[in-house]
Amino acid sequence: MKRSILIILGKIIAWIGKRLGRGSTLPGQIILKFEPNMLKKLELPNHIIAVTGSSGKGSITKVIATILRQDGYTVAHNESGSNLEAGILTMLLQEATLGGKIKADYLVCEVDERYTKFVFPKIHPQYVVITNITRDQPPRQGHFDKVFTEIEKALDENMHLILNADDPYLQKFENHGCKITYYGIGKNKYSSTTSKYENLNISHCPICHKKLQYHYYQFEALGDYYCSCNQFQRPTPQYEATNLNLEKSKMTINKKYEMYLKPTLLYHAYNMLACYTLLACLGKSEKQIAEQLTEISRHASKENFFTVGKRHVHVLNNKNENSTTFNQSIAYTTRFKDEKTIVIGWKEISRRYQYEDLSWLYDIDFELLNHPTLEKVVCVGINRYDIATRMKYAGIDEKKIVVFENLEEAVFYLNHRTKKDIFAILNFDYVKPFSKLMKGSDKHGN
Amino acid sequence: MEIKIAHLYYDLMNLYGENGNIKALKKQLEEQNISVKVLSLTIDDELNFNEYDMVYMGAGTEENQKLVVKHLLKYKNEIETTIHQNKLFLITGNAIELFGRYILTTDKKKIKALNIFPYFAKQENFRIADEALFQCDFVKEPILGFQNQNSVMRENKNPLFHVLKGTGSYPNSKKEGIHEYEFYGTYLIGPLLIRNPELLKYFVKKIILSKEPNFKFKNFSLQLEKKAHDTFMENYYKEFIEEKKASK
Repeated sequence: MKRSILIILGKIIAWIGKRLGRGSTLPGQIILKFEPNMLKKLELPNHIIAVTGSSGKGSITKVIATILRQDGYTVAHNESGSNLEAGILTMLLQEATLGGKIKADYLVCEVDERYTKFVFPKIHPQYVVITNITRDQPPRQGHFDKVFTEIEKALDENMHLILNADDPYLQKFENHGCKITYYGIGKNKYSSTTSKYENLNISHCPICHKKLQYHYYQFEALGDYYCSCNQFQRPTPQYEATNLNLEKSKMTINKKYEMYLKPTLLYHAYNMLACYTLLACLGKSEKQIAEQLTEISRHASKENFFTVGKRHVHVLNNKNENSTTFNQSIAYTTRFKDEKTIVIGWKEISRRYQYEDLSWLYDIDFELLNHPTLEKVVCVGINRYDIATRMKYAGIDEKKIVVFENLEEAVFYLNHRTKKDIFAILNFDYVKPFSKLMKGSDKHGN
Repeated sequence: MEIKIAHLYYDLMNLYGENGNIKALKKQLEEQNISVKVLSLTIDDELNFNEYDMVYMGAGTEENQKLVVKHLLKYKNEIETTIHQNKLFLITGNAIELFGRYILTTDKKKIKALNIFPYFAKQENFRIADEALFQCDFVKEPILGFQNQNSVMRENKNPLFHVLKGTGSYPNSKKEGIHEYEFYGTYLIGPLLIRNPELLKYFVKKIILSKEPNFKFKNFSLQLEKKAHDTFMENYYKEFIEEKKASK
């Protein structure tokens, strides 16, 4: 079928889909049936940036697209988060002229890590940010090495990679002939000289297989690593954040450009640093990047923090089956030294499939929650007893562990039986309902 | 009495939260007032199988399996002897492949394994990711678990489990795992002993009785674990429970 007809067809399906309020990637899916190489047949923008990895894709592409637009460029971006081939094509079809040209200066794309091998050879990104490859959805992905192999297939030597120097696992991409620019976070007050995490994706030198050593750890396997064989160590990052101060929401880049950070999670600092590095590679002035990133952070949503009476409530959004997001949230709670109540739960393990794997609960270092400042840990939802059991084996006193089948009961208990600040470590399907219930109890006093 | 548990390749064969099994054994042994030493061992360490009261190993990536088997082969005779002397081994996930004859990779290469049991593993182009409900001869409760593997096990004569729901050693197999001497091996991943408190009790008793046959056990405190097991059964295997009730 002719290209222009396919584009019109795609636009019509998208229009109908919008009217019916569904089918966000349906146009792409249908057009791919007629023309599997449709992405290749479009005349794409001159500048193409792709972001992939287990987490951070969405927030990084949003920030990059925002800044490029602030700079006066037109940007095509899969903002909806549909990051498989059909989703990306759906977005492009809407931006395309009937002649097949995408009228934008930049294409900024988040791409699902397992679909990079289908998408990259068709769009040829010049810049590829690979954020991380973490333990994520094992029933779907198998394990992290499988994800690495999939991304590896997508790369060619004309791509310029932006990687985190602190992550030894990502150095596996060194052998692909790509130009690499590294970013990293220097030693700071949160760094530690001992590892706090038991289950890491990499623990031995990929060259000689001796156990990796660290000058300091930042988080999980991230840090300043080296091997006694002298053939493997953290590369010197071209863009390094120093003076990281999460309480004051700031960090300094290359000892020169201070920027404001919100939310104050270590992973967010890494994500902002990835944006900074990419924009600097595009030739933007660093001073300006730091100013624009600061401005974006100042307007960042503060939904994850509110007060109920005198109590502070922190709501931390996690992905089930992804131990890294939970470890990040736990690290966040440990920065607060006052007594606290923790809430952990979800409506369902996964909305993508029916498997009910619980192994990942033991990839998370809940042991770090076991501290005298813990008032109670409230386990809620369908797997409440599995969560409670995990808390028991994290060493938490069973008297501190309480279980509830649903959020209503849990919130009632929080309001009537606990007094301290609340840290809710929830899967995303519980974030909104929990916040709504907690805020509601403020108004009605129950 | 001190119990020594060897957690083999704790940092390489740790793909799906398998250290939960070590946490479970340690805690339950300690609750029986027994001091426990967990030896976290890896490829940089020397192994001494005579020293351990129990050996545990979990699942790993295919790359890590290769590193580990190279190290393990140095101890082949020692491992074989201790297994034949009824040393307690619990091996979960694809670690069981290392005790068979070989692993046949997708590109048709044979990775030599310990050759203690006559089975072999074959890597496939598909993955088995599946809920498992198994039954074994020595524990009454059905065993809950999850399979997430790239390979299948062939030519195994002494299975550990009968498959009630799930995949088994290979698609449509009704058997899973290996049980010979005091060697217990299964493809089930993750915190198997925590999800199955009766199985945990069985292993804790086994380790203790192997050292002190007249040991007087205190009651086990496994209420949360049992509730987790039973709630999971009710939520996900309702038909199975009803069938069982009807057959009584």
